Amino acid sequence: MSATVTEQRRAAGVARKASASFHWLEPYALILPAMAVLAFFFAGPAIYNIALSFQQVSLFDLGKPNAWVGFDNFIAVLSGAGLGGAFFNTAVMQTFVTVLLRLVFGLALAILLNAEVFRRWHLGWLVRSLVLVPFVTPPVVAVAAWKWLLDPRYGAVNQLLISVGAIERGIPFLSRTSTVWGAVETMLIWRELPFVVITFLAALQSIPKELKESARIDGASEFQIHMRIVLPMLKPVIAVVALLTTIWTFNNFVYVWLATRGGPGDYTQVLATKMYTVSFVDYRVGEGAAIGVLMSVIMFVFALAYLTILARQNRGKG
Amino acid sequence: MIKIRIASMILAAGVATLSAVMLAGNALSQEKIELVFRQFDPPTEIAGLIAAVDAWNSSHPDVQVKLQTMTGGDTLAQLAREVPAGAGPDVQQLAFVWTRDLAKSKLLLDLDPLIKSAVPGAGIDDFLAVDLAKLDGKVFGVPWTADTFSMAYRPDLLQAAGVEGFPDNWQSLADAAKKLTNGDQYGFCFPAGSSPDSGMWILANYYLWSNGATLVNQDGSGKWTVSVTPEQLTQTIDYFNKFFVDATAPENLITVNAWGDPELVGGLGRGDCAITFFPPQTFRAAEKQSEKPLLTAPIPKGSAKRVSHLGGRALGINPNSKHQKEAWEFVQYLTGPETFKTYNQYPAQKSLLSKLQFPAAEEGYVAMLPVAQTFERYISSPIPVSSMTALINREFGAVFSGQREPEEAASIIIKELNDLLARGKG
Repeated sequence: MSATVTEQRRAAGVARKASASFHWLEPYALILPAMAVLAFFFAGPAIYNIALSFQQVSLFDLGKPNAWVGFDNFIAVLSGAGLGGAFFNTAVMQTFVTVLLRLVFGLALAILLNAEVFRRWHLGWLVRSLVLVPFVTPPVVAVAAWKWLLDPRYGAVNQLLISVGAIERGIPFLSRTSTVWGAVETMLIWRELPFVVITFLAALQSIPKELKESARIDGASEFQIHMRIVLPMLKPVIAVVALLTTIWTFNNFVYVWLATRGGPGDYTQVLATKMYTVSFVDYRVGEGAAIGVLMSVIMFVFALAYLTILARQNRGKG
Repeated sequence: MIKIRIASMILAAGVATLSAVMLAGNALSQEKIELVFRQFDPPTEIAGLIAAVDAWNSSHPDVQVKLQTMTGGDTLAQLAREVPAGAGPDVQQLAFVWTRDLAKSKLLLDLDPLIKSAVPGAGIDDFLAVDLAKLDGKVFGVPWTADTFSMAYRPDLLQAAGVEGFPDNWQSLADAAKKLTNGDQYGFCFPAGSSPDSGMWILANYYLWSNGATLVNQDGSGKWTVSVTPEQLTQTIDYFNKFFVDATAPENLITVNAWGDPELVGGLGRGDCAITFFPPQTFRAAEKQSEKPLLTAPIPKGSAKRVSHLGGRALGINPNSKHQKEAWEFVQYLTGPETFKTYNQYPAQKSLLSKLQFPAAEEGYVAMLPVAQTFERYISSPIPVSSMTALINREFGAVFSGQREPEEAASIIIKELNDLLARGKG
């Protein structure tokens, strides 16, 4: 009897040891489904795109074995006409200008919406909802609406300018090189601004009131409070918003494509529309994929540099 | 005991009924075939096609057709993605210029065996532009509808401006446009956008062809070369740019790409534009919106000839289709006379086209159809037609918006055409 019990105990001990030896696998097993989904939906297409960028692929030969051409597609893209202009348009006209303006307007609007008066009159929910209206409008609808607003003959913007005597004839905003980028940037900022406003507003509301009140007691002006307390406390949020909006805008295709298709001429051509044209108009999918890879590399390097600088600044302060 | 018996009977009846329903359903699903037919013309122009498909579905309960509509710009890319993956519609509407590209990559079914088994209409040679649907002597698409462009205008505005008769050549068109421009009314409106699918491509080629030029050509030895000269291109760009310089065309047309754009269709009806150019379907849409009668006239003559292009749609069958025989029957139906009773397009079948009664307002098309030429030369060249189109539209747009001088744009076009030829040969 006692021998049997001993054997049972020994067996249980072995089982426990075996179980313990596999215990380290448990966390990996738990994250395996999430990793599989990520690999399938994110890494898979990215790897496929990288593979395409090293092949000579026509639009009509997708899914077939294609010739590997090394860096030929990258060389063709980098030495081809129009890439420099498209890069400048993407980096400066579409991204830098609109991100900067969104941060400035976004912060100003968020500070305005955070005013005590809205809370006192119970209007906070209403203004927040109104601010979100552009963001819930699909970009296609937003661009179509703006194109109507900017129409030289029947558009409300031109009608308004004519009625106040600012102009005699309607301005074809999207046809002139002097106005087309301003028009596209207006559409983009109008549609994308609410994300910045709402994020900043949430950050503003998380700043303890006591800090501002004690500053007021100490005689600080509202301007000083915002410069010395609010802005420094918002800095991490501003940094993240700037990074995210930069990446999203740099890769954006819809605004330029729907508003101008890269025109007039190639005046508003950006990297995303160039990638589309090379892939689906010229049928050179390999070169289109190479543009996509270059865009990803640029954004990766930008994000790395940006985060490194921020980390250094924080360390310097710490 | 009785309760158990009743329950058993109910259960047995239930099982029997369920089995019968399942068997019947299975039998029905085996008999009924569903074909998918995808087309890309705008919904505003396909009411007659919907009626024709409905008529087919009523008379063919075993072969039901589901009509899908997609935008023109996305259709080709979608097809190029779907077919290699084993998917795609059974029957696909095609632009004439696509058929050979798709056939080269085996994305369309070789129709020769089906044509031999059941000849369409009065024979495949009775169809216009069938050469565009052939590769290595095999037919991959059946020309379905044919069309061309003609000038469209408001006769009352011409009369009011003292323009007698419609301008016969390009110069007289420019002169008439000046007379017709008055305040908010412009003489000549055309899609001058820079998009890869802009209608500027069509007009630019009409001007070049009518003056004896063509972008690329094959010489006697079979070698492809850029045949247009910088002077010919500069003259063409200059001609159309002059409408903007003289303000006889509204500046906002620099962003208008489609000939069906409200700016043109509605503009003619409202009297904002006195003259434009349209394919038949767009002209009919403009007629419906117009306050005053509209007329068509031939495309202006150049120094060599008067010419337009023969465009249209073809029908192809997906090699992945599980019902190729039924798909072919449907293609025959679509190209036949029954469809054109409701579908207000010009049939590509010559014998049907010759019987067609053209309305008086569409006389411009009657004049242009016999002199229309296909894009065969461009389609056969090593450069994708879409690349040529994008290049021409982009550079013309660059001049219209003041980014480049006509000479500079012409030299860029010639350089890029040479690069594209070299690439295509490689």
